[in-house]
Amino acid sequence: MMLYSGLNDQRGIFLNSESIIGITSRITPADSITMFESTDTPLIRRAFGQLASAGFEVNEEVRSSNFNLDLDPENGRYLLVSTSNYRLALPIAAYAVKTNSWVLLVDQDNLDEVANRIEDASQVIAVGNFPRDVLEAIEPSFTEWINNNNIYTDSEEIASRFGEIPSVVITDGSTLEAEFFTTPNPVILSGYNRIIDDTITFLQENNIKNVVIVGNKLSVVGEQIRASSNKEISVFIKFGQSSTQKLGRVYALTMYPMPMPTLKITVNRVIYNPIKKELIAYYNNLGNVGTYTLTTMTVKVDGDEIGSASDEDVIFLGAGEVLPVAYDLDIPIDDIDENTIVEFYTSFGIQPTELDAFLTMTNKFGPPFSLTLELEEIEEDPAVITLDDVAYYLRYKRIGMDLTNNVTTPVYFNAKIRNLIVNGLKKDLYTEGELIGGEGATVYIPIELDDIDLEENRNFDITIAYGSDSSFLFNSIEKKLPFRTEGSAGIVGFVTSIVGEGSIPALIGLIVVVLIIVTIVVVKRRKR
Amino acid sequence: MKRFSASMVLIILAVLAVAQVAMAQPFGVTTENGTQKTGTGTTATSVAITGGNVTEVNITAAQITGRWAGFWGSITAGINLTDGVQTFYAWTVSNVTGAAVYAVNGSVTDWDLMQRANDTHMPVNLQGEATDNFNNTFNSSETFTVGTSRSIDNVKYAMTWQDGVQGTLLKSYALTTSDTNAEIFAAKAVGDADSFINGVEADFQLIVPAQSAYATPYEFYLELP
Repeated sequence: MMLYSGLNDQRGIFLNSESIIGITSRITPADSITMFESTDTPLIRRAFGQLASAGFEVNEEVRSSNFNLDLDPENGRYLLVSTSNYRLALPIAAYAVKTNSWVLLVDQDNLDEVANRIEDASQVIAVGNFPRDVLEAIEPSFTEWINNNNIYTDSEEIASRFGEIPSVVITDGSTLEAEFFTTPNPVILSGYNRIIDDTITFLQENNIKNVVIVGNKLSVVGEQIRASSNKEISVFIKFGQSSTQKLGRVYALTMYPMPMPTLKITVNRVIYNPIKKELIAYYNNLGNVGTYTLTTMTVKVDGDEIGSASDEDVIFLGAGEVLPVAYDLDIPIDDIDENTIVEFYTSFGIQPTELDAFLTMTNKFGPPFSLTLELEEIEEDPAVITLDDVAYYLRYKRIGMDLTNNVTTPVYFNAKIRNLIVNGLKKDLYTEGELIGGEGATVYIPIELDDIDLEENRNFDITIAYGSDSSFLFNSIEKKLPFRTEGSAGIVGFVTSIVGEGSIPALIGLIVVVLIIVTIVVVKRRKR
Repeated sequence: MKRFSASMVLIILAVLAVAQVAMAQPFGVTTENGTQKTGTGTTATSVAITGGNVTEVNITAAQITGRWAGFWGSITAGINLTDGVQTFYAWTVSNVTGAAVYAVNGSVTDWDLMQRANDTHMPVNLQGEATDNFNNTFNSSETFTVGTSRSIDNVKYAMTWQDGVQGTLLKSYALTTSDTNAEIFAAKAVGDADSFINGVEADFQLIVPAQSAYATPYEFYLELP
């Protein structure tokens, strides 16, 4: 609806709560009002009745369960983005208003409809990645595809199409606000509390003088821009709205959250093991999606640095995972007391190339994240497990890893498979569990791979962290094994899953014999 | 989809479907702000129209006016902003002195096109001969600066009141843009200054035109120092 308003040069207002005041406070009885209401689960049902009661006349009422399709002006000009790339939708929206195009959000549910609409369109510009099964249906209609495998670069490339621009609007893509549909300037993406270096470069190379940041939550990004540009770029933070009826009150902007995964990490504790001279940080992924992190840390006593450490490479944390990571560090034990703190400068994101957020203390927008350093002696862990085999099971659509616990006591583990191609896109997988002492087990990760994935995957890149204590998974296995499959899909796979794959020739022979016998019996009965 | 009649100028989206994917709670942030007051003044009439809701950033001594409305508030790091889930955030602007708050009615496409406003940029009701017209209200001028990046000469401003008397710190400037003629009223932030209310502090105080019949919407921006 907001895009529809922008394309028709009209003012769009949306609700983000169940109070009709969110609308009535921003319109007058002299306005001509068209109301759009979802038929699924609107925040307020039959809101036009409440507006009428408040003295406003609704000229037109429009209801739909899919405004993205129903409001399409069908002028043959489209911009496409995958629903898994919602953050890109806002930079695209600004470009759509500029070029009088319609944005279609594509996923499996509307794939056929979208493919039909764009088939004879004069302009179909796709932006960002798409899963393979979606791509196959729509790619033949592309007139152009903007895809740098990086949403920040994608948003900057879109911004470049505006020509010479004195100003840009910056958003982290997490919330929708009217500015993105009314501004004549491009919209580019930033991190949630961190500006990407490439973005600073883009601003400087394009001689951007002014930046408008939507929402006070991104004020830390604004300060980073000011600092990085030596204050040559002016930053305006759009933070409030009001009217002369509001008795002097300034209210928050009306913003609506975009459907996005929850990204949240923390560090539960940090300890120093003097036996192995290691600092161990326990990273915890509190979100609902796998997340990558990269950390630099300093150890301080009363403000004085006594040591530092950092990650050599990004670390992947599965959703819900608690991962202890050990850093070699030699600190005198006498320096560790209740005043010893560790300051974490941890950036994280859903892609290793998009670490666009900083870990911060509660109620703070910028790093560091600080914890008191604990002292704990941790002996060498005798746990030993081996990774014997791994395969993709076609019939059951899952990966199976054969693990053996070589000690008599239980061993805990978490296992990750990196960069597996799934539906055309690289994906990291994660699982965790426990192995009974002295026994082996096959550990499964369900995942569906299509035929092209089966051809394109070359290896299983596996990392397993394990230990006798679930809090201390310090032993590890890193292996790359050739990608291979087990079993067959379909009815043959079903049968062989029961009788065993080696029996296929005998099974086929048996089936043929049975068919012959049945045929003979049927023919004889007919003759009688 | 049902469509009952042709659409006109203003479009409203009353509701959005609650998405079937997990979403964060919609949030709204409220800045701390003062209660707008309507004083009794020396004249007998209290103005009941919208434009009468004016803060005591007095234009003339104890005169209530129907042509102006005001906003005031704080933007310092010491102010905690609530979001929709009752979590407090600290505004990260550590030093507001030198920052500017803008109340904008209209569209600003290029902030570098800001220029001083005069009465011809104001609503008609502020261009006449009334004692609280634009020229009598914004009756001083000086160079408007924001840090080292912005300097506009001869910008008219109104000196707002502090602690019940006309102050010396909190000024409200009148600006516009050369391309869109947006109405922009600016205040240079002064950390924890005395507001027009005795004993209460504010970082900015703004006067904006008020249309008598309907509310005039404004969007607020903070330019970082």
